[in-house]
Amino acid sequence: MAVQSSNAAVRMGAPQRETTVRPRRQNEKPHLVPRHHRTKRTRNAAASAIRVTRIALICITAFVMLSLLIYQRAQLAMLDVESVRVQEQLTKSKSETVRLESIFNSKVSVENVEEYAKNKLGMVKRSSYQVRFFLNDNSDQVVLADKAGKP
Amino acid sequence: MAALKTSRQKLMQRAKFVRIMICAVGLTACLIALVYVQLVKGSEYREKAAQNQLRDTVVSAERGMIYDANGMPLAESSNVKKVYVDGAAFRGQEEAREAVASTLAKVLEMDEKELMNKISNTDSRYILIKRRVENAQIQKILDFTGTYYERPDANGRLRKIYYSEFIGTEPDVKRYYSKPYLASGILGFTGDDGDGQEGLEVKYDSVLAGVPGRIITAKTGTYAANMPIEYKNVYDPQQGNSLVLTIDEYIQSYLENALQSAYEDTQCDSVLSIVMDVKTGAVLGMGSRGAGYYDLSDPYKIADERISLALDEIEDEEEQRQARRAARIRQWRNICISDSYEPGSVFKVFTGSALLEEGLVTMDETYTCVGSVQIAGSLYNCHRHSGHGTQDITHALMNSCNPFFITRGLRLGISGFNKYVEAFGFLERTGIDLPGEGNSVYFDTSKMIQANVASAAFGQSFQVTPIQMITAISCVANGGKLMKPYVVARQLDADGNVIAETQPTVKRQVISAETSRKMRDMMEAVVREGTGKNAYVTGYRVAGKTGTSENLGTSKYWASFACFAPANDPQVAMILVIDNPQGAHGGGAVAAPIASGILENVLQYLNVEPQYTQQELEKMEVVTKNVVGMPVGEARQTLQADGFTVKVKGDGEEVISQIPSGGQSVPQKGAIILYTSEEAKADMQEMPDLTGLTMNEATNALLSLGLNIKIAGNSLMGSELKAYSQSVEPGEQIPFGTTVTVHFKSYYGVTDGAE
Repeated sequence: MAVQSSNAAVRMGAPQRETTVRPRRQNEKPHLVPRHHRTKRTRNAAASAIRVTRIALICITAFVMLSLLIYQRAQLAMLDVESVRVQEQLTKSKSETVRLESIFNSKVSVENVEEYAKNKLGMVKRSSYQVRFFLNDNSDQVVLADKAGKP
Repeated sequence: MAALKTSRQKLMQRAKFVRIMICAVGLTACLIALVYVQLVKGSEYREKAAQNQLRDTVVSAERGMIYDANGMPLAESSNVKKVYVDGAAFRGQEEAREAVASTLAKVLEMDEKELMNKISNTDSRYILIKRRVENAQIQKILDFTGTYYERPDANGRLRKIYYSEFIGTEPDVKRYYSKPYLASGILGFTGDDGDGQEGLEVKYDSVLAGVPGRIITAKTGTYAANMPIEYKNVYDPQQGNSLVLTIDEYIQSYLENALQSAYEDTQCDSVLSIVMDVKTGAVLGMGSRGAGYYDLSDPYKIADERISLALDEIEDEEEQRQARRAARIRQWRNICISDSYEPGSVFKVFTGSALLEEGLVTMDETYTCVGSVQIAGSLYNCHRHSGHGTQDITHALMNSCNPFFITRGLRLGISGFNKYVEAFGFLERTGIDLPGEGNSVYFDTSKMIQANVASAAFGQSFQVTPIQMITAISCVANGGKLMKPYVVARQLDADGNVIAETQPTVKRQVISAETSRKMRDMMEAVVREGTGKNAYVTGYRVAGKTGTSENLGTSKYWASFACFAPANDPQVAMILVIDNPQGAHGGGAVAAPIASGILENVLQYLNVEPQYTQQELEKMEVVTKNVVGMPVGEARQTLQADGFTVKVKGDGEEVISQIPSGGQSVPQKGAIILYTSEEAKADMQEMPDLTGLTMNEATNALLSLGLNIKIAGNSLMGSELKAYSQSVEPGEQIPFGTTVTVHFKSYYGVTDGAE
């Protein structure tokens, strides 16, 4: 039967222990029930273990985050170097494109084309009378300019 | 006991108070210091910290491009490098210096000895070797700097010394001109810093240059390496805008080729020409020789061979240096807009326009020219000393009669005459968007006398610029509107979007449309039958006026020709001015034929429809039939039926080859050579000299030799025309049947010299 003394202090948060008083038998020597010292130690140990675990977890997390941060910064630095390298490559390629375009355009100048056409291909420049002009009134038919009464 | 306790408490309280006071004072001092550093000195320290911790790199903006009217790039920029050497690094390392000089000289195509001397300066950490070095050469240099040589150090151990310790490269910019000589006087060039120096490059420098960007990064203290991941702020450069010109590459090429030929043939001091769209004022072509012509990619080199040879002959070094400097400045000068000349008889167009506009002369009114006229005590001669006889204004213009325009010009009076001189734009700059535009040299209008008007009426005693002249001629052609000339049609941003477009600007209405029509008809008559007949272009109605003016005080002349076509609906106007031509110096004899050649090419290129007369149609070329493979007899019959003269070479039965080949155009009654054996094809004919022959004489001479003639498109009429140019040089061996192009011009009735 649990007897609770009205004067017993109750610790907040601490589990209340029920004291059971077993009715004493005849000729039974009263013996003391040793208090549980190990309980408090165990409790403290448990709390301590939790604290340590917590701290360890925090440390590990911090370590991992720091590592990730360092790794990312290293990646950023490498990407930046790569970006600069690619940018330089792009600038070089653009520059080469401009140079080659300039050479190409100079080769296809009017003088070069005419000279090649005349001397290498044996072509002759067209005369103005070789071009026929047509009147186009946006229909399917065309009328030769010289048949349209033009002088 | 109680007393002891009290004094102890008091002591403790005092100590407490002192501690608090010490803390308070210290804290206050800290606060004051903090406020001082943060607020008072804050900006200064932030600036110092930024200077110390940040690197500011300028990113140059790409300069805008310049395109011609058809979108062909004429100028564009590219990033390249400049090469420098650390002279101080060569101290005690002679073999390195030799190796560097040898390699750089080979790669950069420089003189090794000169380079060796240049890099011998051991006091300099920065010796610039060459600018604007392209990537292929840079790569070779970088490959070299990656190599090393071994040298024993103080302890006797061999140490590797890389050539990168001596050579370095820095960013640079190069401007590419795809056609370096084309329109050089208009485009201009850029300097070492990429900024414009001449022409459009300087006029539109702020448009082309763009805005440089910046990259601000944190940097380390020791090695000053960038730390972009710590801090990086990028301000992107604003690329320069591009220009699209009104200049057409094809028209400019025709113009420049003709100018080069004219410069060589006439051995003149200079020659220039401008082609303009009559209705808008857009300049389609502008060029010169003797000035305003140079290599855009090497503007400091004297491009004119004649001038360069003359400079080489100067023995005195200082004198030669000064002469070279003057020649360089002259070759950068666009004389089409900056220099003036006496307009001569071309100005009669404007005197005539003014007279018709004011109603002071009618089309029927006549005047009898006796060869000279006396005005205010001065005698003015006509170039035809015997006089032109009785003529109306049209014939006076055709004959370029000085007394007619002097006497009629005086009717305008001084103020009336000056009113039209000003209205046609001869007293002000045209406002063309090119740098260095000059102005006319005219009388002081407040002090003019009658004699001045008499001289000015036929274009003497004052000077105008070529751009003023062509703008005024366009005004006469287009119905009387004076347009503002321009060379830049549009501005584009980096993405190709149009951000600005030039609209044609009418400055003012100078003459009425009716007066303009009359002047067009008169000027067409000048080309058809007057002093401008050498400017006639087959199939096109050309209107123009010749000019020959004396450079007063010297024995030099200007020969000029101003024209537009087609006369009934003018599209283009052109002016050609030759300064001091050797030999013949008349505008009609010298300038008109050259102008005609340019005009023919321009009108064909612009697809202006030709309108042939019956006489011209009869002399047109005929396309030959292909008779290769036919039996000789059948081939001969086929060709003779078309009116050709047939010559057979070889003993074979079948035609193995023909010249001209089938499908080619040959003048009517031209010669066609049929080859029947391979050996016969080796026969060649020597080209005769046709200079001075008439058309009939030249045609017969060539046909008799088995050659064909193509008469250049100037004129197919006029027995007084004589050959002056042929496409094959005399004495050259050419195959039978070759078609030779021969140019003809008249020396009769083309004189218009102002005396």
